[in-house]
Amino acid sequence: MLNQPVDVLIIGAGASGAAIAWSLVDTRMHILCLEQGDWIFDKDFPSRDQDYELARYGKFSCDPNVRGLPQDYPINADDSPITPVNYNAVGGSTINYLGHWPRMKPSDFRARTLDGVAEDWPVDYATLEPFYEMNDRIMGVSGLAGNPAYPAYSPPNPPIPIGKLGQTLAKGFNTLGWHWWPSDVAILSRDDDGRAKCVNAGTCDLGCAAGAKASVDLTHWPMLLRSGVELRTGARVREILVGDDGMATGVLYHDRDGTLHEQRAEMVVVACNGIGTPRLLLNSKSKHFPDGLANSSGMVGKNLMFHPLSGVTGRFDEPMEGFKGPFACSILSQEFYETDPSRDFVRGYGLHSGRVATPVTYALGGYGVDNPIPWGAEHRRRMDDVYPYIAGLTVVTEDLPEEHNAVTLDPNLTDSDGIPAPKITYKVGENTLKMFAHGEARAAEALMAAGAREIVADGGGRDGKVWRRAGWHQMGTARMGHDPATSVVNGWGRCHDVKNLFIVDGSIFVTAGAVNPTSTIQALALYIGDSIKTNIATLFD
Amino acid sequence: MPEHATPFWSADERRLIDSILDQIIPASADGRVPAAGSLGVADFVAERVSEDAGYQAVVSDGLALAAGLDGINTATLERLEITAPEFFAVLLPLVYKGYYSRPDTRPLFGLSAKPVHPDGYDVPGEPAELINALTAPVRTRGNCFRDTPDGRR
Ligand SMILES: Cc1cc2nc3c(=O)[nH]c(=O)nc-3n(C[C@H](O)[C@H](O)[C@H](O)COP(=O)(O)OP(=O)(O)OC[C@H]3O[C@@H](n4cnc5c(N)ncnc54)[C@H](O)[C@@H]3O)c2cc1C
Ligand code: SF4
Repeated sequence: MLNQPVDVLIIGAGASGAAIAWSLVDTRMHILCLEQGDWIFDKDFPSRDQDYELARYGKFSCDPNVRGLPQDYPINADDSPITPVNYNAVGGSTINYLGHWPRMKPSDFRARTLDGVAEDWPVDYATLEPFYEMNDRIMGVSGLAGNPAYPAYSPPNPPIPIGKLGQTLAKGFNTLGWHWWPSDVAILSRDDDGRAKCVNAGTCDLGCAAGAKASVDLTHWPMLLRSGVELRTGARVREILVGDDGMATGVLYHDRDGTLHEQRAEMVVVACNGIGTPRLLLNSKSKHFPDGLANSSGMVGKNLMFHPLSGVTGRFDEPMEGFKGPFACSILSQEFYETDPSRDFVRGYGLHSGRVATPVTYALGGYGVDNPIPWGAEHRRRMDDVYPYIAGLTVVTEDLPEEHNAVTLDPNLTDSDGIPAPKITYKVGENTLKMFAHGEARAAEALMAAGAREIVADGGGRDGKVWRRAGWHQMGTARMGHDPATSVVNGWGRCHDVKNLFIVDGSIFVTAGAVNPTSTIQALALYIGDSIKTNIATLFD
Repeated sequence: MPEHATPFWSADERRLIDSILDQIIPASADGRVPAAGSLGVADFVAERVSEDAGYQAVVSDGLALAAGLDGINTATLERLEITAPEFFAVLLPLVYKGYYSRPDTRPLFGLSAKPVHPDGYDVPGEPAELINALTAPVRTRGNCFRDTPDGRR
């Protein structure tokens, strides 16, 4: 079936798709977004159910291979210690993300110049700064101004409580003279714009039934629909089509029943995330692009970066009440973020004070981990004498781009429409392993300085091993750059090979930094939208 | 301990699994925290096992081996765990999920019995003076990010 052509076709209604639509909405162009998932309403979030935590291991798992919902696509991660996690719906992975909202730093955009590794970005912090600022307002970010780890900026809302856990760890960092700061979060600390403030329920990964967490189905899509943007759900794009001139002409997509439709467009914007985007490009083969669309550099799918994590847990004398408050982060130390030549690794890591798991999660080995604690008398001891008293620090490392870490197409596995599924080949880098060793020792030091009685090896996933379901951040698989021979898109998201095709998600990251990526993904999408508007007269030249 | 058969376990099997569950999560010495078998967690396990043919095979093989043990206690189950690790690999996650996701066990570990939304937990915001005092040493040390060579932040 052929539909009416549109001016702008966005694929994916998650964080980046919503942000670019927000930027382009004032152009009055006819914008259509195709999203394979559906709307999900707060009444459907499990945190209102009696057995709410069980959803984490079933229909609301962050792992699409566990969920297996009709809108999900399987991911073969057998050749990777880390498996990508996501959510496929209006809102994308902001439905189940945790809303931790640190920015990247000026040095993150200059890794080659400063440290001789990876590549410099074609954009810098100063260019993105106004877009970070604008985006923080749209999302309703809470935080404390004056963080000396960044050029000055002020989050629009006051910080959320750091709680007993945050206060305790802060004192430890102060004793050591190390940096820490209350975390910026895309979570409301006060009622705003029809959304209620956070009630400290701790189930941000199960969807926020309070609406306090900024998921783009709440922050963006209602306004976009009112402004005339069209959103078609249950629409899974199979392939981006190109004409004889090598320009994108539109897409083929399946509706909920599997029926194939053609949708034509003047411009196509891909926002399917760091796994979904290379998958779609590699599935879009044609005589012009036999190795996948926009892939003359061979870089589509290459340089996959996660943020590998490990962590350390301390047992304190008093209950830490770590289950109270937003899941992701209470405070963040960036003492070891920047390169220090006296260390045996380049770049750095953050120490995140994630809140501590609930009893179910703790007993099963921690969030995203399948390693149940022992049974019997030892079980009783851990649940009674350890669990209530623990606080942990997670070591979140920068992942360097390496070409062998890649998304390719699985030769056998497909989604329910028969579209080849992505296959992940990934190895944790040597530099990262050195960071783990350094970071775990520093985390233990900080916990002891904060008053921990001992470091425990059974810390709810924080046992020095890489977390398997920690592929939350997916970056680098269609990277930006000035040189078409080594990059997929230019400095404002336009594909070198196809001048009316843009990519706006984490695929275009050149490096990963050591912070959660979504504030940068959205700032970048707003910047790309702005560049499209600025260059509109010569957009496809 | 419930004295009834479940949809696919006989009364004998049910007694056996209840006694295994009592060893997996034993009661606390003061009796405040009940054991998993006496709480009826086997109902949850039965429901989940009935949905999965793979689980059914592993659990029924495990129960057959357990029935031949010289009683159910820590020592006999530790030996069974060595000979039938897959039985424990299936059973432990199910028992832990079934036990700790209940409204009657959550409060024993400090959590609310109710679903967390809409009420959540009361965590008072820190007064500005406290946050100022805590962050003062960090601010005093000054900026801790690197400038870039072109001076563009
Ligand atoms: C459990 C979890 C916790 C996280 N916590 C944090 C955090 O604390 N802080 C942070 O910064 N980030 C966090 N993240 C990551 C964050 O969610 C992502 O960085 C962000 O959502 C990426 O935005 P995106 O637009 O690139 O992709 P997404 O938000 O994933 O959206 C992509 C959308 O594209 C759709 N799509 C894909 N392929 C197709 C196709 N072929 N046709 C049609 N539609 C398609 C998908 O259905 C999806 O809705 C977390 C993620 C998870 C899963
Ligand atoms: S803790 Fe706050 S942000 Fe997280 S789900 Fe609950 S109300 Fe929402």
